[in-house]
Amino acid sequence: MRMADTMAPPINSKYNPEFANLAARALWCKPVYCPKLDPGAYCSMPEYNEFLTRIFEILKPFAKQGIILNEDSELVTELGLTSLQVMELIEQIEDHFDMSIPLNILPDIRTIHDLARQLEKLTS
Amino acid sequence: MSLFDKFQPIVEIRAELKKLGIMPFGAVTEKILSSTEAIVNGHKVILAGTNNYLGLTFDPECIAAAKKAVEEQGTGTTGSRMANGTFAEHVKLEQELAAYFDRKHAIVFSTGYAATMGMGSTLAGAGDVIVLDADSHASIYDGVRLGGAEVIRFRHNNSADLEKRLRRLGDRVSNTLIIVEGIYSMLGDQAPLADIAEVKRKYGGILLVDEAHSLGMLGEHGRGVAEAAGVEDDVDFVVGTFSKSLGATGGYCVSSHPELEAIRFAIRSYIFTASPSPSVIASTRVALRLMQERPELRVRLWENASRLYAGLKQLGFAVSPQISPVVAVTIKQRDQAISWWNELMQRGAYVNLVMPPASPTTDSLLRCSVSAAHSSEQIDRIIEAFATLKTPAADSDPVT
Repeated sequence: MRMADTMAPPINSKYNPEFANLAARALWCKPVYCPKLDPGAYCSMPEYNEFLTRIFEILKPFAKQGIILNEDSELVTELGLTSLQVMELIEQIEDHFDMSIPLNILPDIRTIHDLARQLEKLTS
Repeated sequence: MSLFDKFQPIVEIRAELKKLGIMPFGAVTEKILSSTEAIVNGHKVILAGTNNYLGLTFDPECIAAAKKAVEEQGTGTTGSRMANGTFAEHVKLEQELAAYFDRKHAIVFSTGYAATMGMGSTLAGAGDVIVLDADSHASIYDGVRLGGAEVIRFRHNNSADLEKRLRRLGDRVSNTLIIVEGIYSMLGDQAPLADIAEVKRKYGGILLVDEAHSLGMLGEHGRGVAEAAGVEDDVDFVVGTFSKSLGATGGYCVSSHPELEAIRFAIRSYIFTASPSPSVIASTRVALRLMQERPELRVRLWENASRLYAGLKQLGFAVSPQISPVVAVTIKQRDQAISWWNELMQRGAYVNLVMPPASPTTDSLLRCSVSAAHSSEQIDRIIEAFATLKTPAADSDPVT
């Protein structure tokens, strides 16, 4: 089980089920919103939630036809991103965080979680 | 689930095209009539998509040299350059290439693919970084993946984006290889090499330029975009091919870095393949000389390129961003591109149909390449064939 799974809040947003939930999750995961959790857990991956939030924002247009974006959403098979769209996603993340993302990480990425986790590794 | 499942999309597209009676990929040239005309899939056509830029494939001197080589040295070398496959002529061609490019060292490869793939996979390995233009050719992408370096793309022809990438690397830029092309094969647009060289001077790194589509076309001596931009000293390695302007097959890398002679013995695509056949080396050597002796070929090529570009633009087609021997028409709808490709063939013009992912965007292309050997009348006939296509303006949005 991944750490992110243990921190998932209930799905309860009424006004924007796709994103409010995720934003809530992202915020909820920050130490300031969950003081009872072991702060050390966040020190090892300080950027994960920031990456996650950004990815969700960029992928908003792909959450169509009842698909609810979550960390386990698969970029290609589920959201239907083409290789060009994957590269556009990467470029937008690069611009936002002023970082370069090597192509080498792509084979290890299927889900949004995989991507955020790899980005976190790159910046750690 | 089987190994073959992943090929299903290809199977489906092929079936769809077959139903329409169109087979654009793998069209068969049944009879080649000259460097600019052939019978393809049963149609007599003007060849407007063969990259035969200088039209040297039927040059009598090239043919005579190839014939002589076959008779004197046989049909093939049957061996690697590192074993029995280095003939005196391979070495001579390397010396002639080095002299032509005014560099100290040259390596001849069996194909252009082997040259770019081999250099990309060997120059930078584990622990090194490669920063490449996003629209780089498949041979570059294949190579860099094989080499194990960290691979970072920058936005196509965007030197500011390249600068960002190099800045972010910090000290690692000292073992960074930058890869760009001279003229890009699909749209024919040129790299802003003066800007790229400036960025390289500021940050460092090693610069490799693939001049496959620009050899013989640009610069005072025809050495390509680097010469035209006046930045050859900033380019560490030039790679290219014999299969376009030189009318044969094979590839090369030239450099003034003495290390190239050591690198040669580490390039797997150079070592583990048979060397080019004697006839190929012979015709290439003559073509390399003719290219230098006949600057008028280049003049003719650009006249033809300008004529075709202006003609298609006037008809309302979305042509490439700049005039080039590659004139590509961008078409939004794939089916429209397929149907037009077919119509052009029936009207006597053979061009290349390019669909994603081979095209740089989600659009399809009808890609023309002109030759110095085309007559003005042939260029006009290509334009006339395009003019018969229906509603170009509505389906082919201008490229900005």
